[in-house]
Amino acid sequence: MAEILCGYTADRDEILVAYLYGEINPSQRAAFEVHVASCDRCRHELADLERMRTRLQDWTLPETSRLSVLEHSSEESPAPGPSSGRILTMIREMPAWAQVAAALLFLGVSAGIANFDVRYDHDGFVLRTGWSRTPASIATGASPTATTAAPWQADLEALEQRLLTESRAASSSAREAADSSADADLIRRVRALIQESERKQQNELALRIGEVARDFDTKRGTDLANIDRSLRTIQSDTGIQILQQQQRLNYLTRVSLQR
Amino acid sequence: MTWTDEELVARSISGDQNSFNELIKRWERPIYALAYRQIGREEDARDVCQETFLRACRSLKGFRGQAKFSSWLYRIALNLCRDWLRRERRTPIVQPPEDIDLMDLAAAREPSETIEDRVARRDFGRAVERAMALLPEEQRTAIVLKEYHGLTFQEIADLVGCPLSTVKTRLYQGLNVLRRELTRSGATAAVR
Repeated sequence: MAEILCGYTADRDEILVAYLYGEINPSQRAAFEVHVASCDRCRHELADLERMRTRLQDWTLPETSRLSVLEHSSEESPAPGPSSGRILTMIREMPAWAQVAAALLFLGVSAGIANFDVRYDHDGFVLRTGWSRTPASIATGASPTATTAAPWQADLEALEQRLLTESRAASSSAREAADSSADADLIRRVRALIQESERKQQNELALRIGEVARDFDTKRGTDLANIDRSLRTIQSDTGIQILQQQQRLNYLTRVSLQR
Repeated sequence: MTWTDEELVARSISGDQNSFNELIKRWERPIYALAYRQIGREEDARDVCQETFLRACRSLKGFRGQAKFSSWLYRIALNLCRDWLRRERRTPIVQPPEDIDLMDLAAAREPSETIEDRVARRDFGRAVERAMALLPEEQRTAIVLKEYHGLTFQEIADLVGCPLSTVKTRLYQGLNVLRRELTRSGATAAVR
């Protein structure tokens, strides 16, 4: 088919797109509308593109109830909670172990740079840096009266016991609280997942049924058309055979009458 | 009270974490949609979406407000999509039908729509997705930003860094490729 020519002198493609999306200045619009009224090619192209733009809206996104940016689904309360995985939380709130490790690393590096020397002996508690020419006694506690090799041993053991006791008490109470909170959260998430899954299955079933019904209708229509065509063929063949038989009978009758 | 994006950015910079969370809630869907339509894979689109907000958060203090926050965010996302496409050295992926969530249409449409309409609409959607995957990246970007995000020609030009006339040309060429492909692939009724 011969292509219809368009005699629009301005930059046709750009003007057409601008007109299509309504982003065109009034004078260009008026001029283009005058042209379109007399140009079949532009009119048809515009109509096609308009229809296609409608079709483009059929491309929808897959259903995504949870985006990974925020760890709550859209059905949940929009109020931000401290446990929801917020971006700023991820960046600003490091895990406790990471904070401790960072602090220890910092202290170690600092001590290495300053060349710290910490001593606790019969002379008491002594802190000295590499920059100090003479030992500087920063804090001197009561001098130990005992003459044992490790006068700080008893203090250290007492401190260790106390830390252990406090640590156990704190961890058991924290674990209980965390367990109950985690259970409730888990149950809520599981329920949400089950509900979502059920809804999806119901919808999927409906769509599948629709597809099957459509396929069935198409197949039935094709079969009916085939049957109809076959019947017509048979009827046609039968009619021809009957006609031929009649012609033969007529011939025989005519011949017998002549004799 | 509803804050503007720029107000939320200012509050985020001054340390209000909830303001940035509000920006995420406001823009995560559009950014995810943009990423999905650019690269065609749900998981990777989610990754791009998350990375977009991470980068935005890290460089929020560098946001001077010359452009709209959304444009700035779109630009980050588009750059990430471009990196992804180049890294993977492939065109956008059209997921096979069994991987497409069949429910998105069924759940979202009006009750008056029949199941046949939904099936047909989904088929058209797949045809559009396949045709879009055939477009060159710059044409696809222009069409996605125009059709699905409603940006103006000028906004698209600013975003992708090209002249206004180039945006219109890319749109025109892309739309015509789509028209041909949809006609050829059997979605003829849609465009003829």
